[in-house]
Amino acid sequence: MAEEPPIISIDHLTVRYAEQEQPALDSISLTIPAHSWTAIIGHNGSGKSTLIKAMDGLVTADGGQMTVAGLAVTEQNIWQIRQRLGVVFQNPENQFVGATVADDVAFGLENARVPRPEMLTRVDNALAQVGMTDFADREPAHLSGGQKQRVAIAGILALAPAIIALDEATSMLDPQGRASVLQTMRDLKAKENLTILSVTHDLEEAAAADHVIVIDNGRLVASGTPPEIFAEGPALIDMGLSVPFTEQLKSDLAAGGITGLPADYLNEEEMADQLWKLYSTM
Amino acid sequence: MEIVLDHVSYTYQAGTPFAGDGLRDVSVTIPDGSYTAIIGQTGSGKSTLLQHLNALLKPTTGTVRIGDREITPKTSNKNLKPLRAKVGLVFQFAENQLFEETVEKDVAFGPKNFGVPEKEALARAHRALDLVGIGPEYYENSPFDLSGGQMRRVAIAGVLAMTPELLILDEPTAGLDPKGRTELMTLFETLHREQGIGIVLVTHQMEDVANYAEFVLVMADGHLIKQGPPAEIFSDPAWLAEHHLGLPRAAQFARELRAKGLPLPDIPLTEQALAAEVLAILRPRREADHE
Amino acid sequence: MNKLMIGRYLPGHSVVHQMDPRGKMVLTFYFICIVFMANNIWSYLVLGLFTLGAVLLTRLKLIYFWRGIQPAIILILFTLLIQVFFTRGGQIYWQWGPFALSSAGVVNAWFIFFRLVIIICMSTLLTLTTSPLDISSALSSLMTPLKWIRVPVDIIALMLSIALRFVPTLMDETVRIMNAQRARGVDFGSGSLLQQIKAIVPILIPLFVSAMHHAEDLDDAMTARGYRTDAPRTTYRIIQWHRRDTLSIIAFAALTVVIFFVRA
Repeated sequence: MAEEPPIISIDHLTVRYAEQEQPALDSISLTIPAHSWTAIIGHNGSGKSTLIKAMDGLVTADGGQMTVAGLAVTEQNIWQIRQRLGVVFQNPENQFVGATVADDVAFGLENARVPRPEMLTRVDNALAQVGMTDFADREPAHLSGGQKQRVAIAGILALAPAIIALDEATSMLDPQGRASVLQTMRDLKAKENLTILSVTHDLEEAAAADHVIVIDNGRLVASGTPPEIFAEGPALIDMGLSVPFTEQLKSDLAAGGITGLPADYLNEEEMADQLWKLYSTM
Repeated sequence: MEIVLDHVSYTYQAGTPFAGDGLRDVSVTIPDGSYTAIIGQTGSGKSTLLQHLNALLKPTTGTVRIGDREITPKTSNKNLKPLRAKVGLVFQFAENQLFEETVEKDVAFGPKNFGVPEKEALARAHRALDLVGIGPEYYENSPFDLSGGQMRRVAIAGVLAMTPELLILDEPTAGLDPKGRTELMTLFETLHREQGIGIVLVTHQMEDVANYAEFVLVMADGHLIKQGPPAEIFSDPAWLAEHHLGLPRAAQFARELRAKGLPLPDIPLTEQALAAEVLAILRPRREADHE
Repeated sequence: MNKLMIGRYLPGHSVVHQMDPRGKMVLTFYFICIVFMANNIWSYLVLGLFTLGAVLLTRLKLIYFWRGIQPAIILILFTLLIQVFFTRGGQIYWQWGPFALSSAGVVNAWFIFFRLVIIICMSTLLTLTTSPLDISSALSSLMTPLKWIRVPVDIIALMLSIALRFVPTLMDETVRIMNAQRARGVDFGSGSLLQQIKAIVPILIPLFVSAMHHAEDLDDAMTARGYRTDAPRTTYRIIQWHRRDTLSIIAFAALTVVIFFVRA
């Protein structure tokens, strides 16, 4: 398999907010492989959302370089980058611009000056992809949070982006809404060959990602596969996060004298298999 | 303080084409000093139910008894205020209610409305802030300069400063990170255990229900469809799934283990209980091996 | 006041709902002008029947409609009572100082009453059957000529549409904030005027803060989706003129002719 160059590369990115002493992001360097799902985790205020905003030119970098989807993040390129990198923000209410679902999906297309006949088909297709076709004429007040987020995804999809960033897009949703948004994203990623960046503190979501990046107080503290990251255990708690369920169980069992479990991170299925093995072989 | 709902129904904008049902014939008793969780899908009537518990809403039909006060559809809006000091209600995203110039003034706002003299109100504010872990260095700050999590805690202190006997919490940890969530849930648990404050918690987190609640009410479509202790509510996964509700993670995992053949004696609801059960199965064998 | 229906929208699929909002707005305005042409019982009767016909066409329940305009009618009646006693002419039935009850006064009052009721019915009809979105699209479409004098019509239209879209959001928030403050012991609608004004502060400040948050987030979201005020955009939503709209114009023209003949 030919190595594709990373779709995002960030080199010593620093962002400072005017009113704060400590930089929001402190010399962050990382790369994101194309077509991967990367979870960015960290406690509230750790700077993880600022990272997304910097890539999209919504905050200006005070140092460092960034390349997104083959383009250097500069003032000249930023409008092109915004068509290739779509962002779903945290609050479903505050990104719904259109008066109805269809109008909202069309908003980005209108900005990109897509002719109306093409817009009609693109809006319909995008709505179909997130399963919101029946809601095309609904007003936002009559939608649940999860539905609004799916509309936001459709609005991005209509522009055929390469990358979709979820900026805590599920944190204000109920479990059903959260599940529906994540499922939609997983289906889309497979179908559209997208790269997904997901800023989250839902560790179970992160556990299902290809890569996990941990940000704490504006610094990149860890980067790796979920098993590598979650093997850290208690260090995560110190960073204001929690430990995945299976890790917690493993450490409680170890405290009770059960030491036969592998040290690596196990997902629930692997954990169940291991426990069965312990039980049946002893 | 006991709260009893007797055949309570509530209709929004009754008599107009915009009318909608909030509650339908709900009868329930919330015992004095209990920790009750209310679960159900968004729009199932949980928030409407909460607002009946401190008479922010009056039933369209039926009666609500809060302590010794009876609220009926005809009850006048006057003199309901004393109830609200006894039943503190923390709304979802409570930080949205902050408005004063300083943190301590905002927290003292509630007690002052109930006629507590300024000095005593401030003293109460300081005690409440201490409970939620906001130190004196923040008293003079503007609440709008705090972080989201701190603002939430200040807002909660604003309700605690009214020294309620019952604390109603509408998804108090929504949007917080895991650390913030744990801290708040621990605080409520402490208030409940050490000061005997009754808690009514609306939540989507089944782990919270399993970890803290003594009693669970399940709402769907304005109806109270089930009530009982957590173990009972979580004993029927098929029924829960039918109502779009989940199991606590530990219970879910325990079922997977059982399906694999591990003879777990019963379905644990919390991670600790699960660990204890697994240990109980694995340890005897291991000890037998060693002999 | 909750029952007052003017300004509210009730979704439906009637002919009136489906009319071109530009046509509806212009015709409603035109209708109000015609109402002022009426000057005898017959012309008011014609207008009344026309209005009733329009209400029936919306297929809304008459009882709701009646309840919806009732509060307005009570207000009008009260104003008229004052009016009656100050108009003189014809036979004087009763007099006391500056007050008099005269035949001209009574007739005049009835006409004003009918006029206002008919106008309120028609305006309520417009808002009940036209979504705020349609009203804003219609307004921006009607404003198009202003582009010639360099009015930024597109930006104004988008602002209007976003403002309308956030009305329910901010209404919900107001209710939530009011409830939160009531739960902290604030009494709305009781106490002295000063106390009432004071009670508004704990609502206004949080509402203002929250509106600012909405605006900041919205700014980010719109920028991220490629919105720039300095570049042209294409338009997704267009309003279409149908045969029913032409028919409605003919109906209003016919009404004008009839009124012209029956008026005194």
